[in-house]
Amino acid sequence: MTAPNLRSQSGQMITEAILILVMLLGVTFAAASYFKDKELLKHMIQDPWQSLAGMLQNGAWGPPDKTNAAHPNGHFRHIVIQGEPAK
Amino acid sequence: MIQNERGMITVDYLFSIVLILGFSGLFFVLTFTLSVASLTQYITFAAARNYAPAHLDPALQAERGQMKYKELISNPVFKPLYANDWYKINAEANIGDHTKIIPGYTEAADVKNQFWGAGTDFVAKVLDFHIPYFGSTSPEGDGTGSGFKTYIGSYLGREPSAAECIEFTGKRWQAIQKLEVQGGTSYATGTSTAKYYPMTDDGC
Repeated sequence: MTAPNLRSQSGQMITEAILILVMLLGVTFAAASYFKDKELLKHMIQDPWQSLAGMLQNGAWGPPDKTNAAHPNGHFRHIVIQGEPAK
Repeated sequence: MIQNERGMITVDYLFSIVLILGFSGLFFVLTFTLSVASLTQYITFAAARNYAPAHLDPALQAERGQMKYKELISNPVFKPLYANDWYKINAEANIGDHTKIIPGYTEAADVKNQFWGAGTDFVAKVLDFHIPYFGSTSPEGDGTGSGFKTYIGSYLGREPSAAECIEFTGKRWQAIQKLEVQGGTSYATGTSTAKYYPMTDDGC
């Protein structure tokens, strides 16, 4: 039986490569999980869209259903439909 | 050989190219969506502009607006934008009083505000996407782009039509006949509704 040569570096590369691979995969899956749990993609795309949709529909920043009242349609203006006097 | 760094530049390059392509794609769909929304806005404006002028009756006015809307969305240049499943708009424009079309407008309208024009639903389905392992831009969505929907319209009003003007003029004559005249003969005396012919001259 031969004694192990502790000075030999053979196998060191593969060990470190596996270690780095595990770390990289761990970080990647942790980041992916964080993205999914916090719904970061939704916050990056859909939330700004809601403000944009409100501006497109009602001319006001914010979700369309919450900015309906801000549309000029909701502003008071006097028009004569049945001949009533001006206020 | 642990000190061998050959291949690292390839890894860096691949990482960078994926990152850059990802962000470039993201910014492209965002800016492209803004452009198509602006284009759709113009299409509704053109439809509203064709709807507004007087015609024989309100139905014909609406038909003119609808014709312009359909003409533009079927234009060879614009049609691919709405046919490739990236963006969806209505096949026919909503034409008329939008205070009765959009939920929430009626309550705020105080009955006197009437927003007449042309409009369409606009769905940016291209923004509803899923990146493997990283989630979806619309987690609660069903993939139809319902989370990226808005309404685009143009409100230019509507001129009274010839039919409405004739009706208005006829009613006005009847109201004149009913006026109470003191110290004289009423307008109803010796006059006839049957032989009264309402006329319009490009409006009421």
